[in-house]
Amino acid sequence: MIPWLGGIAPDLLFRSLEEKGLHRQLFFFLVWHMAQNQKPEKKKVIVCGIGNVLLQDEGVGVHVVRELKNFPLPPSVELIEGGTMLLDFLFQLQEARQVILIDAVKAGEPPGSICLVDSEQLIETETNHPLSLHQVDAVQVLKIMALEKDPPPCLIVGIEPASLEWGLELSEIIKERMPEILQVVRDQIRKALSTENA
Amino acid sequence: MARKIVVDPVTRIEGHLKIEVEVDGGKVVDARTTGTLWRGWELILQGRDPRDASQIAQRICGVCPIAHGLASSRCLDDAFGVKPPTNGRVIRNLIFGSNWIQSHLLHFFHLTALDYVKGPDVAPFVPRYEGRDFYRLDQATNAEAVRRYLKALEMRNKAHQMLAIFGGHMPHTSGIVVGGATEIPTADKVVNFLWRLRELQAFIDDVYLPTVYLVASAYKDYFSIGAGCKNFLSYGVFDLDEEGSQKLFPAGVCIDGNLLPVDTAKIAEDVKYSWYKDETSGLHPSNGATVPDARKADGYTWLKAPRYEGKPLEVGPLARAWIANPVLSKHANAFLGVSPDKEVRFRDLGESAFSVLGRHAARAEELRIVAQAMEKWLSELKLGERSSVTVQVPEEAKGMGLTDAPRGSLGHWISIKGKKIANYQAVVPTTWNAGPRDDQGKLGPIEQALMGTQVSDPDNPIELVRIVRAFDPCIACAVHLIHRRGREQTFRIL
Repeated sequence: MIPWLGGIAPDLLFRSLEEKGLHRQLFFFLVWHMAQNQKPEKKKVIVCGIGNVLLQDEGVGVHVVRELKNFPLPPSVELIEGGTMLLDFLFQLQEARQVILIDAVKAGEPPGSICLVDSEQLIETETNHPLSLHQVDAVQVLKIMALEKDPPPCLIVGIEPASLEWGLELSEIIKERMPEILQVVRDQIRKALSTENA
Repeated sequence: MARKIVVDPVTRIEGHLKIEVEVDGGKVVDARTTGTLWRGWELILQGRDPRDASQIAQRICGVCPIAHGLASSRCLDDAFGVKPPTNGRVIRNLIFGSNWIQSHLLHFFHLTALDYVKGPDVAPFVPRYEGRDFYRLDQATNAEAVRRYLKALEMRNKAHQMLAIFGGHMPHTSGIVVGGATEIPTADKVVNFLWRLRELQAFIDDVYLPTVYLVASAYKDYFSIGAGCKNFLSYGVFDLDEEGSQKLFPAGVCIDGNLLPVDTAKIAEDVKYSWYKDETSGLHPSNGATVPDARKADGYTWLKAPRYEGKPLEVGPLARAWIANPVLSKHANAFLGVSPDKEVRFRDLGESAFSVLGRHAARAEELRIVAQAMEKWLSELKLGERSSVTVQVPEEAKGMGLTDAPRGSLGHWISIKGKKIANYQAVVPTTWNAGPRDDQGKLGPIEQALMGTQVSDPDNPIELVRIVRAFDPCIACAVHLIHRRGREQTFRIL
């Protein structure tokens, strides 16, 4: 991506070329150039936090990714604040080398517990049949991802929630656990990057 | 022996709809469509600064917020007495066009396709109706269709990104305001927009249109199912000049085969069969009064019944295509077995146009036209120049904003008193299509389309939902409430 492509500079360049009749060539070169640079990176480790930030700890995945932005990470690691519609950006995950998904997971453990689950191990519980695309859950989306050829391996970092009440803040228990959660995620990122270089 | 079939809620549509039909000898002999939820938008808007209307009205719907933002802005333009400059007009069209692309792709691939395509046994491809001959595509074609379903998610993402270049955010943009649009176009924005538009044009031409005709060729009987009322309305859309005299899709009504100009004075809303007080029936939207009566015996829906000169009119892609009669794509030629150098127009389809597949074809064909036009509009932008005019909130004014939207004809009406919104009314596309019987007992368009349908299995009424989904209903838009005096009332969700 041409870094200066923003703001007034292209306009001035454009208009000066317009007088010489060359603006169209520049224009279409830029369109072509931008299209080329959008081809997906196949080497990325994608760390995606999902959940509903309106329901306190349900959104812990998103909170974790927001915190991760404060740490230095190599360009081959991409962070996504996923929110609630995983299906809508499944296409981005499919281009990854490794996916690390962070979400609230009820494993029957004490609140704040962290579990690491390979997506293949996830038990397909008899989930309620969704009435709407908004109700399609992460497990179902991961199953769809698994149907494609060469799906990326996906590791889930699950955090046992303490509170699922209305609220934009995490519960105190989870807030206190955030440093450990971040450490676990960063360890997994490091692990994913080292297997890439192996 | 008559038997009742209820589908509640109808899934894979926008909003909350229930349908109830009576089937006798396997055929539908009575049909009722019910909007099951309302939210009270006009009440929320009352007392506010009029400029808030175009922002708040967008929240009526997450799929088509631009339609409401635009209709509202046009309504405010009218009330404030302002006209957007060229950049404003073009940017509004580009934002709206981007939303059309997202919306139509959503509708075909993610809402409708699963009525014809059998995906894997995982949500959202299940649950599904099951039955003999329901899914006629072979396994390989189904698998390819599922791949296209997933690719279409990525394409919608691109359409939203494209929109956000000028709109700032999606869904719910801050880019369209009274007096024009907020963004000043620059070369980088145009470039960013255009490479995405090109990809979307290619997707429409190489994936969307072929998939529609692929489904059509396996389900040809659906060219004679779901005819509807065969009368149409379009307010026109995508102004091609500042005066608003030329539009990409023209305005018009088509009644009993006669094409006429739109006269909004002929619009009235009946409520005999809606959960509103009978005394408020038959009013023009600018004088609309809505007094809920949730326990009214005859009422069966929260939607009112809009009528034009007393007639139910269908709105949406089929209406626009029938009125505009555009030249169709080469895919249409191939499907119809016509040589590619011959021109085929929509009305050449004849009676087959009035059908489930007629609606799907109209939707895909019009999207191709919109996507092509958007590229031309980009070149009309005056780089570096303003896209809006400065406005003053009037002390007292009335305004009306009309536009066709992806699902059909949309109108917003405002009354301003003391620089605040005194009254606000929206009559939206799906109210026209999914509304109930009028005071004379004439069925609404979707109800008419359901009548006479052969239902093969009452426990898996796939024929009924295929008909409903072809209209692309958006009930989130269709049910809203005006309340002039702002009394607080509580309502049960029935």
